[in-house]
Amino acid sequence: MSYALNKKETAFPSRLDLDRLSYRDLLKNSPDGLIVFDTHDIIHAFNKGAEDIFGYSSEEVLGRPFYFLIPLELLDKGEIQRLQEMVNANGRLERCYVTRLHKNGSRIKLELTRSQILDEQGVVIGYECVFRDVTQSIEFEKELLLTEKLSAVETLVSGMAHELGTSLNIIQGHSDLILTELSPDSPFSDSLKTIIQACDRMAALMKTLLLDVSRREREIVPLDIGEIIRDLLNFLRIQIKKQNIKTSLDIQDDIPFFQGDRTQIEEILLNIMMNSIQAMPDGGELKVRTATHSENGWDHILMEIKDNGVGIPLEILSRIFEPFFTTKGVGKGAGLGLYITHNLVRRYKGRIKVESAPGCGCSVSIFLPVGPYAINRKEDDR
Amino acid sequence: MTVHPSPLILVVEDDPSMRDLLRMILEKNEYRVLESEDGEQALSLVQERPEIRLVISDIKIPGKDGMNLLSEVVASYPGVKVILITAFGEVEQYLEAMNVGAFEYLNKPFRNQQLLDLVKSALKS
Ligand SMILES: Nc1ncnc2c1ncn2[C@@H]1O[C@H](COP(=O)(O)OP(=O)(O)O)[C@@H](O)[C@H]1O
Ligand SMILES: [Mg+2]
Repeated sequence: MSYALNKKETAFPSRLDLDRLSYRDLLKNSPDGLIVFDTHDIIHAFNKGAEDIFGYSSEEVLGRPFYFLIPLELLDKGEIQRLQEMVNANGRLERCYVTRLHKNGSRIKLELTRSQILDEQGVVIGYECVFRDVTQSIEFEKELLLTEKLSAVETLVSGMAHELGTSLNIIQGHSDLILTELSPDSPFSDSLKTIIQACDRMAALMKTLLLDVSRREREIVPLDIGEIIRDLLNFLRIQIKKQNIKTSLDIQDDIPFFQGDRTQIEEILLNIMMNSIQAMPDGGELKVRTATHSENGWDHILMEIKDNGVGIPLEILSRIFEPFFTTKGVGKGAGLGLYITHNLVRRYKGRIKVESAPGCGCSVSIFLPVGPYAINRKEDDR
Repeated sequence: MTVHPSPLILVVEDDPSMRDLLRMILEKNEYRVLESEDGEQALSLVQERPEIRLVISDIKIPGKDGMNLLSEVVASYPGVKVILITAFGEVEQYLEAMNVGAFEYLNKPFRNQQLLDLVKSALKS
């Protein structure tokens, strides 16, 4: 299938008369995108909104078929025919979500309404598409969904806490009772000790999960993030040396103090550093950087932890914050590190960005707001 | 014949295996134990048996819950100590229990020795 993607047609053999419809004036300055094309798929109008959304200027696109705005794999799957059929069925296609291609190659999500343009005899002479970019808000919704899912899990878990705690207590307590009755050289005393230790592990796991960080007492004090990072690396130095990992630090001296609970900030950083260390079993480099960063006019502290370990495949990138999600073997990863980290960062009104690809390492950036924004917002937490 | 009978402890817990465990730990350490499955029955036992010096109760029990049992015991029987048992993470309940006047509070799962240490200090004070 060939789409003659880049051929520009100078004469538009079409009966579509834009001046008569005066669309130009109507939607010239709308932030919504408007594209008008004829029955040969040639673009006749491309307003300011469309320019902003797609990154092309109207000169670049007028007179060309619109195919270059659609990702190739969708074209191959018959995206154009699909939409065409839907429009022709009712004359209009209302608010459907489509994926399109920005000039810079990135994918954007549009909410799109497409209707037929008819001539006086009622013959279709073209189409108009009005659309807006919902890429951001879709991501936002995804975030919300995750948040809801997490609190559902929290509720579930605390509901089960009593049952789990009782069962664990029964197993551990009765084993302990038998152990004290058993002669110390009985071959079974080791078995009982194993059971008791396994219960301790389960209990610790449960505790991590249930220690609802928001309800735990927080001691909010000004924290020197650089100092915390140095302390943690010192704490991890044996592991780091054992795995032949090089560390490099780029700590800004003039970043503001962060108002937070030291244990919580340590937990955030430790979980991420541990993941990086675990991702580099045969050595590598761990880079930690702090910087200040301004976002929507608010100051943030950026903490970036970068490794060149195994990296994260795209398929699982969206799942790494889920509770119990782990790719590490049984008894190794609990799959709670990033879940807890995400929860903590959320409580400080911050956000986490993870960039990774298999074999290319992983870079985690944590943005924590500082100043009035953080202080005002922390109170309405939950 | 004992001149000073060992202290009597009331265990309130609706899960039979958990109740057995509490009883066995205590009896193995020479305490005398009474058992109850729910809050109402527990309260009348405290009333009938003045030799009860300590109540160990789960917070989730049928009838009256552990917290109610605690406040009634504290109000009417100042000589009786109460240890409450509950699950992790229930920090508010911990604070409430301590405010109402519990002697102490145990999170499940706890180790047998932890319970014994607590019982010992409750009966001493
Ligand atoms: N730096 C990293 N490099 C590669 N994979 C990572 C990295 N950080 C996290 N992951 C992936 O995310 C998963 C979840 O991480 P986490 O929540 O900390 O749980 P756990 O470390 O117990 O598996 C890991 O199992 C791993 O697959
Ligand atoms: Mg981890």
